[in-house]
Amino acid sequence: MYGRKMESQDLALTMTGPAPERDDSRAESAQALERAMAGDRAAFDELLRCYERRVLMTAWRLLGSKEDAQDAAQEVFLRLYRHLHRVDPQRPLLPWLYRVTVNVCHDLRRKRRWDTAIPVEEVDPARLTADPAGEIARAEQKRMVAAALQTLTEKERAAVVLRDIQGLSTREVAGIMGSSEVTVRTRIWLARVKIKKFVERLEKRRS
Amino acid sequence: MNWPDFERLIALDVEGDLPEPQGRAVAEHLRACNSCQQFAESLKISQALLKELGQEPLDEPMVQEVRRRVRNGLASAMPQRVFPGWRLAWGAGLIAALVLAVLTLRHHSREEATQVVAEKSTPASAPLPSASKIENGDSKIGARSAKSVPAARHSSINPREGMRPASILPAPSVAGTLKRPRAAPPGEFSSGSLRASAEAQHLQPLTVKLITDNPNVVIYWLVD
Repeated sequence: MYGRKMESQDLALTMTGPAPERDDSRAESAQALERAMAGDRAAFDELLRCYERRVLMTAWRLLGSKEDAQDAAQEVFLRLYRHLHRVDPQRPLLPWLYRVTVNVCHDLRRKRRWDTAIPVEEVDPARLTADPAGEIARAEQKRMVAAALQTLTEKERAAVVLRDIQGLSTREVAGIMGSSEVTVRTRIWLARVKIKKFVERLEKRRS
Repeated sequence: MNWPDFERLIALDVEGDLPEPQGRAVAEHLRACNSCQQFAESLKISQALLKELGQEPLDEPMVQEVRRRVRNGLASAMPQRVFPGWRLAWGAGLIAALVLAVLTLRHHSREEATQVVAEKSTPASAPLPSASKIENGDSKIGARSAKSVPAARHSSINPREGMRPASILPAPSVAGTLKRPRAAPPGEFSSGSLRASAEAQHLQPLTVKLITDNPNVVIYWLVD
């Protein structure tokens, strides 16, 4: 029905992560998970190496800061360790990790009392470019989009990060966020339009 | 369809989030509408940039730092083990607490019922100046009643006049069972006999009519 729909059990296999990691086939990670549940530290380390980049990338895009993303990723894996008994080894671990990542980032934001969204007017386009006289480089545009992400509401940002950056299907995002698919789709289209408009406005202000 | 609808549809269609029929309709519309085409094009550009954010390599030191922190944290973060019988133990404890609470409540309500009966049996004597004269010698009840009724409430009654229950009208079936004690002089009656009667009626509503020596003062006591 939908172009990008994926079955949840295939999630671990078909995820388009930020960088090619180790071959985290589902069976392998399930075995590692079972061993970790039995108290095998090496198996937990295996899980850590398997998922750390995805968790870190998600946290980075949700929080907008690498340092905070490190804190969040650390907390996510420590929660995984503490709650290993709650994880079903027969199901892919990644959706669980994404859910915890979103929650941890939410908690972190709340703890540090950040605003949910930064108003567009507060973003200084001059700070986004290192080359004010030259053309807009791709890297600068990406920085604009990254800044645009921080202008979204928390739920819009989570939806669009999971859907467009992490490449999950709408159904999977809905499952992770505990919302309906319709709600997720609404957040996604709103977020996409906002990002597009934000980038356009920044470019206009800069020119 | 108006512009916001198209904006929504295009924003979803650009990543294939629309069902097939709607996607086709959007594609047809885009062929005919220039402004929508432009909108879709710029949306595709921002979406491409957004996706590239996910492809950006993470610094290796950053990843290693997280790994190091997690490994250090594992020492202090003990995994929470599930004890096989903990649910059962909690359940049993909960049930025991519930049973205890019910028993306590029942006991408490019984005590209260006894008190109510005692209080029902004494009110007629409480406001009377002659309340101290209790025939059955139930000094406990007499004392409680005398304490619980404020004196100001009966200030209009001349204590010297005294009063007596003229009629006690319980539920019709037992109306005749309550009588003024024969031996008691006017203004005095036996609280003990009243109490016994009230108990006999199983706490049915009572209407107590008290007539004082003053013909202008008649008191009705409605006891629920």
